[in-house]
Amino acid sequence: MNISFISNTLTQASIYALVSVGFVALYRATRILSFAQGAFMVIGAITFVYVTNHGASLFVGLAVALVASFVFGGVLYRLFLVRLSFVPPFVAAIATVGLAGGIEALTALVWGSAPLVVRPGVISTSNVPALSSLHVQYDQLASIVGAIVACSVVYLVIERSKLGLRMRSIADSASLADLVGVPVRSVSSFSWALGGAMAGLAGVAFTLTSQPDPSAIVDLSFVAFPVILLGGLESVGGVIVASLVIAAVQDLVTVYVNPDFANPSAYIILLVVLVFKPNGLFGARGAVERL
Amino acid sequence: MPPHDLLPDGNRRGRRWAKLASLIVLITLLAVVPPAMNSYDQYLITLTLVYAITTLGLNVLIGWTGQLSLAHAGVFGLGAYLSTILIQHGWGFVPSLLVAGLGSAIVGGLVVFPALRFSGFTLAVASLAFASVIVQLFDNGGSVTGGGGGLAVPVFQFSGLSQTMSTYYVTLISTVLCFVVAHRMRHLRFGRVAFSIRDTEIAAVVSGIRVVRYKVFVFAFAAFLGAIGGALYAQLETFIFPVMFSTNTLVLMLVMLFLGGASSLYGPIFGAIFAVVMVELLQSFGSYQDLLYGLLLMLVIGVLPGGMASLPERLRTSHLLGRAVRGVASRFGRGRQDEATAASPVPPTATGSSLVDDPGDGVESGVA
Repeated sequence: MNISFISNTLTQASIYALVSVGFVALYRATRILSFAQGAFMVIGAITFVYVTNHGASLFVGLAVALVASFVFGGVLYRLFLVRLSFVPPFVAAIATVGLAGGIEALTALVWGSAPLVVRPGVISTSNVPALSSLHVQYDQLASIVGAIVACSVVYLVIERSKLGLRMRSIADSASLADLVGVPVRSVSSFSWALGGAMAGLAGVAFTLTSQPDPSAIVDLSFVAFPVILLGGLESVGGVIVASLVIAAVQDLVTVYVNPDFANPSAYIILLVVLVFKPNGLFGARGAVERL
Repeated sequence: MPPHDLLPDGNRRGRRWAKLASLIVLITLLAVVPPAMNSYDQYLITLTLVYAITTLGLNVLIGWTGQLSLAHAGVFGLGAYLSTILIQHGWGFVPSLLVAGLGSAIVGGLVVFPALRFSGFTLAVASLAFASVIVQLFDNGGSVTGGGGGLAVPVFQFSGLSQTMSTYYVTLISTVLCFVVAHRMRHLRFGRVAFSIRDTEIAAVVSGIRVVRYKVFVFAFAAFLGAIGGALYAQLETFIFPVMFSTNTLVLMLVMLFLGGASSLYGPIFGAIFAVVMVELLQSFGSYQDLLYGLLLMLVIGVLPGGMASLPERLRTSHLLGRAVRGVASRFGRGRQDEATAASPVPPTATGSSLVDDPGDGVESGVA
């Protein structure tokens, strides 16, 4: 087996994990099935490339992209999505399809369809000497470590903090949460900001390691859906394991079968697993069916 | 309850005749006027009808039955490619249209089987995946589909008519047929079953409805309409390539559906007219169009979930505007009927469990 297989899989999994954990964050509070994660990825990626191409360092670019996608997610919720709390869930999901289309069109106007190439010198693409036996490149290591850190932070926020409890209380019953003094709109906006920021980070990680064009980013975000559903929509741990599973299968298919089948294979795994476990691998009972 | 159900029977029957008569006048106009237009306007009218058929399919699926399927742009493309390939192999246009429709219906009905176990988000993702696989097939189909470069469509022509007018008449006839069938389906058992699956699926199962059978049929019927629309679209555009059936097209369809009024029968027509007029007005804005469509979809769902078809009802019951409208109406002797609506305890526009309100042409009115 190819040695770089492990580092490729881990890099891919870290990107999926970032998008999906972001989705879990926003879904846990607002119960909106967002199709807009890919759009946030594009925003993060374009911001990062723009800033670093104008001379900023890796960490400055990362910080700017993080803030931009964070603010964008929060503001979008406050402007548009807050209105969707009164429509049935699947209609709200359709509205996010519109949102995603709108953002993608906007980024196409701003950026065009040119590939997002990171300026050489922002990060090295040579192998990390300390891990020479695994053939891990610096950009891959940055993605993996970044994903571990970011996912841990989000896990602590939504599972172990008072804020996370408030997010879940809104999902249970927004009016009850309001009654006991939870600032519903602010917390919901925060959850979307968090989701946007994570997707933005995923966009940065994808750009660092693959230099894609914007439409490739959107394609990748569609593969994140099988990850999210396999993980059971609401579980941080679940989507992380699902990221690893899907990324590993995709890499195996790419190496041993045909690169063109990599994305369809993710959907096929999803369908097969859901036939036997309709709530995903780690979902609460009825988490998927409820919708 | 829609207000006209409160009317005595004779009055209701009178309204139905008036409706029918105005429809016949409209169809006659559509048959007679376009030959006198310039070919670009003919193209626009045909496009509107094509969009109306296609969106009707999506409406049966999403608006009536509540199945969040996002494969419609792919199915639209399937119809376009199937009919074009058949014509290239020497078939006539009308047979190819029917075969493309039926073939897509079979594909739509079969593919849905694994997805039937799921609902909501899972179905949405699975159908989106299905659509992307279809478009990938177009892209990688070699000489059969022409790959990314696409296919030139052999355009058929009635003798004595221009190409656009030939396509127009086939489209007009298809539109009338599709809407007549949809109208009958909506007002017979099928419509009520569809709405019950949408609103309370468990209750539908409990009352003995074979939900799975209905769902398969709905998916097949929606695919049929989408494919018919696609085949006509191919004739109209004379050239097809994979990008035409991408997510942007799906967003446009959803805009038409929700702007026109999901779950209303004639909503797709309003939506299609709106979309074509918008495209014309915004042509100079070029790529800002997609941005606008996306935002529009959000806004409609947030602000007017019943779409344009719900506007009259909405105006009648809204507090400020409604009072003004009722005031004017009462001067023309229609006050009593409108007050009856206004006095009803439940405002008809309250959007609760159901997708949107049933507009005036609800199921109940056609049963009698």
